Amino acid sequence: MTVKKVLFVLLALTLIFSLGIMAGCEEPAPEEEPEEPEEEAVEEEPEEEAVEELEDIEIDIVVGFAAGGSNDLSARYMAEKFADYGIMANVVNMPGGMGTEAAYHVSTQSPDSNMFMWAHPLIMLFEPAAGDRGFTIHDFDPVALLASPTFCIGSRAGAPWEDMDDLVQYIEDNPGEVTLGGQGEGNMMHFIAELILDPDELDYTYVGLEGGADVAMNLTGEHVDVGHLSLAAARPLHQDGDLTVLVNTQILVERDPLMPEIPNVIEFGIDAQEPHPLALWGPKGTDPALIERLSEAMSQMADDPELIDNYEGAGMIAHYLDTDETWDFFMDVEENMIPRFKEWLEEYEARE
Amino acid sequence: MFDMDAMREAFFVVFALDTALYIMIGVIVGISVGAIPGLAHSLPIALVLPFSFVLPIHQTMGLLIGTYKGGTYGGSITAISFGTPGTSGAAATVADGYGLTKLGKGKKALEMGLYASVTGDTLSDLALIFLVVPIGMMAPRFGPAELSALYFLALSLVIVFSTENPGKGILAAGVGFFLAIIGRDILTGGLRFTFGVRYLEAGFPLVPLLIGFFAVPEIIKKIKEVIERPDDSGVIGEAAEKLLKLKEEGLTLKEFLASWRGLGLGTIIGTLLGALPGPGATLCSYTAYSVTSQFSKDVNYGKGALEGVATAEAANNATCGATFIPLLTFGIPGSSIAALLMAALIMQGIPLGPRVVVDHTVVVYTLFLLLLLANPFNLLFGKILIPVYSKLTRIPAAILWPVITLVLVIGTYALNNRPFDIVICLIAGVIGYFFKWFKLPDGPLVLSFLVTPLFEANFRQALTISRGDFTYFFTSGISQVLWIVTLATIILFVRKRRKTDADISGN
Repeated sequence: MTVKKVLFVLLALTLIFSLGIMAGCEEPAPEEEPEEPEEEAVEEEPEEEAVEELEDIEIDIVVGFAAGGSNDLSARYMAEKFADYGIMANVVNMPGGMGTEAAYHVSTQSPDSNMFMWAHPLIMLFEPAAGDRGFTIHDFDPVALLASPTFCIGSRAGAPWEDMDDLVQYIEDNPGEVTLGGQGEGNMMHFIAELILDPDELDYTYVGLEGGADVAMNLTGEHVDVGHLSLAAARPLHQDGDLTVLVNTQILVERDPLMPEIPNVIEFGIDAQEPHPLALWGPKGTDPALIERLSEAMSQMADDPELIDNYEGAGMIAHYLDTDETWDFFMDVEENMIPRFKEWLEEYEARE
Repeated sequence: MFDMDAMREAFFVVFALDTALYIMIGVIVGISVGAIPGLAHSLPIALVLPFSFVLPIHQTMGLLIGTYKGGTYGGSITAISFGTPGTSGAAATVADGYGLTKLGKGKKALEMGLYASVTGDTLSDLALIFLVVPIGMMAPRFGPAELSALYFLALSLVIVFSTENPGKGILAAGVGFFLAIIGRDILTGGLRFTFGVRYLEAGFPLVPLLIGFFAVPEIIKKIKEVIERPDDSGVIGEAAEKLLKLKEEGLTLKEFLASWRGLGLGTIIGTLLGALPGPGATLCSYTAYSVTSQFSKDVNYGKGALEGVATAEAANNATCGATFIPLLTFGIPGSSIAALLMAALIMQGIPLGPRVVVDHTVVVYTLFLLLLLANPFNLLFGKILIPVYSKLTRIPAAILWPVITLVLVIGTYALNNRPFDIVICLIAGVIGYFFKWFKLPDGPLVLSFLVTPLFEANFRQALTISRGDFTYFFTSGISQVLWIVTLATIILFVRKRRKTDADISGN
């Protein structure tokens, strides 16, 4: 290709770019969002004035899983909202070791690195309890808790039970017949599944599948009878009749707004709500003023209807706990669930 | 049911200048990043994901789909030009593509890579549009027992790669097997062969492993050449300038059509396997590549055949459309890239699942049209970039290879922000160097590395479900067919081996 041809192509591209940008500005979106009422815009003004007084800062939010999952999505929604408060947040994905690679990385950063970990108790408490991961929760300072993904127990289409009580009764009547597909083995998810359906009392088969998508696929294909998966993944399949959601296991609220008709596991007298809430954590010694600023921003975004809608669509609830409440929540899990988990893990390893 | 009004609405949204612009940007970004060794094309997709917050859906998805398709093709450019796959999906292209470059037919190989990618991609998109329901309905029927049979079939292809020397093939497969089991147990999370090194707990990630395996031995070889013959490779002299200006012969229509077997098998295997959660572009291309090796009439297959390039590239790009099949039928992402595309749609307020076609018909038709429209852009920009890349191969080694090394290190680190990935890349490079030294085949290593964790997980799950009853593996019709095909593959290998032995004895 001659130089003239290359220049011609570049010229044509520039032209297309310019026209495209102009067209893009004029082109309406195919599915337009309804406009926000003017009242809300008026209400937001004082907040903006307050934000202007603070200097813009930049932070990194490290997510211990690949881009695209619920952990990542919740962090991205939060990062987008942080911008309204003068906080430019970059989401950094660092997958590996069930999120522990990323947590270890953040725990070794300087307190003034402006790097934060977006993590739930599985990463901060259960994984370090299962073995040495190079960090513990005490290497971090909490900022605040904002999101809580909802998980559920679903059963295959056409299963001969309608609710949890029926399922338990069916397993009792038909020992060894039911298969429960969970997410992995020997981890928090498996522990919770066995709290819901105690294998010491009920004879069923637990099979560790590779994740929520795998559970959904095996339930849809009727390779397992019952599955433990996220409510967001289960809902469309439930609506289409490919599976039936029996209970949700949300710990922060009983009924999830995404599927309010589905009871919480606690309503069946089963004390096995899943501690999945996601909180922001800084390395130990992070500036308390920065923590307070981030926490304050998270407190306000928890009431933001757009964030609430976004989280609901992704199968999570927006729920704010301040710095002290977040610490208390995690410490409560550490005190009440971790000893049971360790005991269960020893039994599980002996069983295997 | 086909909705003409929805199609009309989608048509006017997609065939607009702004949408074309975003597809074009996506394709350029995808090809450019895909051609950088180490930077898997999931990275640019993840980087453009935040645009979902500000752009309307047709622009966002145009950008993402363009990046996905461009990146899947882009990986072949460096695989063919420098023997260094830009993405893991292009690893199967190296043997024939780079073989052709070394024979001075780099331009032909690059053009075949492009045309095969676009062909496989377009046919896969059409399969998605017209066969989304039947293929989608098949996917959940593959449970642990069926997938165990499928992955055992893929493992049996290891021996197909080893027709010339089964011993070397088994050794190569053993190395792949060992590397695959390092790290955490995929189901229980227990640690295996980490030797107390915490960084090994995450195992050997695919991308640094494959990039290091193919690229580092080539870098070592070039460094050796530069040291031994510094005058030939140190400066851009008059001779090198003449070489840069030299015109290479392009691919003819006859040569393209002659690779119909590879194109067909690559597209079919890529589409069918790509619709299942798990296999991914790399396994699809290796599987198609090994299957075609049994049918190809080209004696240079595996050393520098256009058909080899056609097969691998058609197969890896055929996964692009197929990835959407489980996504649109069940809302289940079958790969990391599918998860990213799903996230982008969720961020646009489109919940994926069986009802998406009914509830968001316009969006689904928009996706179909975007997928189709991205292919001509891929063709156009691939075509523009081929002369550039075919000339890059003629830059003196003393300049070119240090640049490739630098890009490789940056790309490997940037993927997961893990410095240890560079160490893994180097370890894989040392392994790759020994493979070249002892002429061990790379196919068995890659196949066993990819298939081992998949087979292990499904095999253990199936045994758990059946409570240790091995007959469970043969109960479904799908399993039975797959076991028969596996048996036939092994018989085919034994017959071919005997024929090879007889030919050697005859000579």
